[in-house]
Amino acid sequence: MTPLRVVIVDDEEPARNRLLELLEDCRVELPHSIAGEAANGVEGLQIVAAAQAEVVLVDIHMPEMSGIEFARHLQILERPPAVIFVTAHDRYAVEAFEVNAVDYLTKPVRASRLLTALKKAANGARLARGVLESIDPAPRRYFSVAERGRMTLVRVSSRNSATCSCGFIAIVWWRGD
Amino acid sequence: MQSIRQNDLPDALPDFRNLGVISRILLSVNVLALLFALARSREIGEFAEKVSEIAGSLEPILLVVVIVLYAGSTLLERLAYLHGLLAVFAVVLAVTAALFPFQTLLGGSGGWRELAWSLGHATLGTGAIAWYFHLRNRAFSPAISEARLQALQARIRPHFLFNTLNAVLSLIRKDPKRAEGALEDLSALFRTVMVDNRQLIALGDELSLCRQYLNLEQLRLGERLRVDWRLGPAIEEALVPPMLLQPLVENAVYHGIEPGIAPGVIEVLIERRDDRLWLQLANPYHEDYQHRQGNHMALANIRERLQLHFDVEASLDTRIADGRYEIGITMPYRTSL
Repeated sequence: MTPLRVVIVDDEEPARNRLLELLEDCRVELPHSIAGEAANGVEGLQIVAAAQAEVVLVDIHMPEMSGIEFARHLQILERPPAVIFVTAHDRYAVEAFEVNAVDYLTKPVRASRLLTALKKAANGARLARGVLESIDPAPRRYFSVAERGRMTLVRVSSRNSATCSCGFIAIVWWRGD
Repeated sequence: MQSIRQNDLPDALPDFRNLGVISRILLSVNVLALLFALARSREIGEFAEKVSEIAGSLEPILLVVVIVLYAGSTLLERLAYLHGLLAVFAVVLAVTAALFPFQTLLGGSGGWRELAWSLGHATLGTGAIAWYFHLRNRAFSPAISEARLQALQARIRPHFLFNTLNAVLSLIRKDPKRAEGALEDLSALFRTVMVDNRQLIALGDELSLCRQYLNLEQLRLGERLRVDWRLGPAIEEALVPPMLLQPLVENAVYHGIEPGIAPGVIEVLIERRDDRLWLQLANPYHEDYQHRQGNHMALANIRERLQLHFDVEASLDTRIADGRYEIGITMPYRTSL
């Protein structure tokens, strides 16, 4: 079995460090490699796209882009990674479980619990797109386009315009948006 | 620990130095006098006569009583409620008796019967007002117990507790010393929050509570959280309601720091200006994240408790200016000395 490529996205450094420690504890039973870590969703998407990550451990409450929106953007990738939410808030948990999310871990996480989640992810479980809509129906803050290992994000703002013709969509945005 | 359900505020005498309390006493005594005059007169002409008659003997007594209570309020505060109440009755009766000879100048007969009559009314009036303040205390009890509950819940809220525990776990292997310090801060914070905190406390204690809380938040937010303390001299001894600042600092972190990627500054400015204490708290304002709940509840609760302790002499205002959310509180500067 090739090592599972894992990316960690959390805005708090101690939380990322804790996940790295726990992953280390799981390494013997489930070989994996850390493909990268990011402090926010925007950075995280670039890393996931470039590294072709297979599993993403992601916090939900983050500045700029929530974990839920982050997971939505992942769905446009050719091979979206399995998403495991890791958060201190348990109010989304019920919805997530109802719709069979890959997994939903509450902080602080036990190594054995993380291992179970990783095993599920390794077995090919994937989060369905519709699941994300039902967990958090808030409007997205970014448009995303994925091509050849890159993801382009455009912040949704009133200054953007989108036109659609001949099967192409053109989005015009201002530099800095 | 006492049960959370034990809601009632302990009975306490009102603060006789408070402008609101003084005006409530003056107003209610005069309303009582008017009702009394109304009850004892059969026509409008007689009513006016009765009013001026009662006012003539009542107002000097009332004035002297208010002044004596104002001057003796620090002594009264040290007494248990029942003893304090007896002392107030004693003051009222003593002043009534002492001023009684002057009533003869206003046309009173000055007889024993009239003295007994005056003392009787003074007792009834004082009783009625003591009852009013007792009821008012009762009415505010829910605010106080709700504050304790809210304080408890706020600390035990998953968001704060679990994130903090997670941050401490991340330290245990690499930096056990720091993990120890963090757990000590956490237990100190819980201990303070769990004690029965309904009386005024020294601002210095409230500030150390805030520092313990901010130390823990610093652990997870690191560079993103910056606090600019601007504390004037002689503020540590000032008496403030417990949990006055901590919930506001917590809100500042939740609404002002967490939603931002870039570092944000929380400014805390506290100073004494003559006999007033001024507190100002400012944090970055994120328009996009205003759906986050909880701010208004904390503010309403603090406002209510300020009103209970300081009546009309305290105020709390909020405003948004230059991308920052600001809270301003003013209250009388009091110390336990």
